[in-house]
Amino acid sequence: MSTASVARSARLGPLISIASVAAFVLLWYEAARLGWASSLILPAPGEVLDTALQMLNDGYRHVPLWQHVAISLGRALAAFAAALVVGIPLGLAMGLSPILSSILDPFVQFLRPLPKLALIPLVIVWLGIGESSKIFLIFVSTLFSVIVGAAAAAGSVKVGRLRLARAFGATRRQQLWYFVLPSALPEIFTSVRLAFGVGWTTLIAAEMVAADSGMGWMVINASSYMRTDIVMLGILLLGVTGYLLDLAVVGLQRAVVPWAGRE
Amino acid sequence: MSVKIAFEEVTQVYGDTGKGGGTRALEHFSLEIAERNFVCLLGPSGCGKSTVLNLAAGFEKPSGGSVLIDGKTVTGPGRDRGMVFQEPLLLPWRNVIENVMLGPCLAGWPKVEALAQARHYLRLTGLERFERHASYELSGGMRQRVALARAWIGEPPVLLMDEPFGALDAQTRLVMQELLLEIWEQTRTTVLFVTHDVDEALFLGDRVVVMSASPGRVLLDLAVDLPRPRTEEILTSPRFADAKRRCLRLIGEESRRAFGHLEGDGI
Repeated sequence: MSTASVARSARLGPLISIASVAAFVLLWYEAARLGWASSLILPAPGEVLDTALQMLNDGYRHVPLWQHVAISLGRALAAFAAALVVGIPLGLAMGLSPILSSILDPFVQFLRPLPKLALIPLVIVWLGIGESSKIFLIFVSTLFSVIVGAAAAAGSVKVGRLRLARAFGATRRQQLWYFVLPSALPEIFTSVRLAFGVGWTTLIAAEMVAADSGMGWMVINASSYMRTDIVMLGILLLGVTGYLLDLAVVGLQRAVVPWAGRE
Repeated sequence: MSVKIAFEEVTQVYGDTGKGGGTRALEHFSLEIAERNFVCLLGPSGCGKSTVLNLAAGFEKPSGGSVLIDGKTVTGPGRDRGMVFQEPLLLPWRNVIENVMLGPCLAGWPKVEALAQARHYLRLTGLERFERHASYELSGGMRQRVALARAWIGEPPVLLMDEPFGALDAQTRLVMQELLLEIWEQTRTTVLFVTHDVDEALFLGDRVVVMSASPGRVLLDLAVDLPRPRTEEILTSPRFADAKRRCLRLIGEESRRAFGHLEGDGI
């Protein structure tokens, strides 16, 4: 493709995306209207919209809808913040110190791919069924991706840049602050984005632990009453919130490391 | 004039050095560079000319022999030697003037003095209108000018340059070469400049040291007697053509002799 046509399709991109979503909703609408599936299996968009409006007024199980969203978001954000505070320094330290990396790597590599649902019984025994166990589950599933990403980022500083540092007589501390850390930032952002994605998917699992609010809990609870419309509303809310969260991270990345991918 | 940089019988071997193994990048390489001289190190890629520069910079330690600056053995990199690399290596999180001020920042200069000096060198390199620009918005030639200003700001007595204009187009390269000479005339720093371009070496240098490959050593040491200050016009003058012809003839002769010598060794 020529540069001009690439630029044109970049401008058209958002329009095409909107059209594709509209086409999907139309297909969904038609499928329900023509009765391709019963409304228990596939509720119509209108039904879901009605449910949404009704729940905006009455809430779900005595809790307003916005509060379900806010509680889930609060749990996820608390877990993400803890994962960043612990994971980034630890990952960077592992990336910079081969000894520390050797000590911690077996644990990180064991825990990272572990299905976090398997931890639920242990987490309940350790932390009980309050907020802390839910936040901990999301924290654990986010943390290891952050650690691995930060460790890789710390090692990614180019040899030329380190030579430059040494040529200017930078001390070890200066090498770290002036060269290594800023060099690692773009890659840290990328891994944080991926880690948040992983953490957000754990939300449902976390809210399976004796919750009585939250989007994940809403989906699970509604499914036991065969309220497919509420399940779909919950899924839509989870998806949209996750998407907005990702957009926020991307926006922050653009503001903090505008040079990413442009060197 | 006193000797600023000296390589004494330097041998540099990479890889497994046991039982004569490893790659011999340099063997018995000797060279003396007088203070305030502009010396160009010319040779094909892989002849070890970057190794020579890295040894002077202190990035590498020689396997044998010694590298001296002002008669003292080089033990590591230091602020007494400015570096310009083939890539500009600007830090994208710093704007143009902050990149130029990198050295002063690391050395803990007072801010006012650092700013004044940075502005001075941005003026010399024609970048005064770009001081707040992001480095990644600049063209290749402008980036390399920033790198030049950044290396020069601390006024190091020695400037080491590793094919700094190698990645630029011919026009930009010529502009940069003239700019380099212009600043050098004012400061008379000792310069060791690595290149694989004969024209560039003759245009810039007081001396052109030609290296041969595997193992790297000095093939030829030529004094360039073209008058200074040199400008673009000199490139098309008969004197330049003469100097180039002589240089190429000598390189040819020496290469054939070296090659014949290798054949005599049974290759």
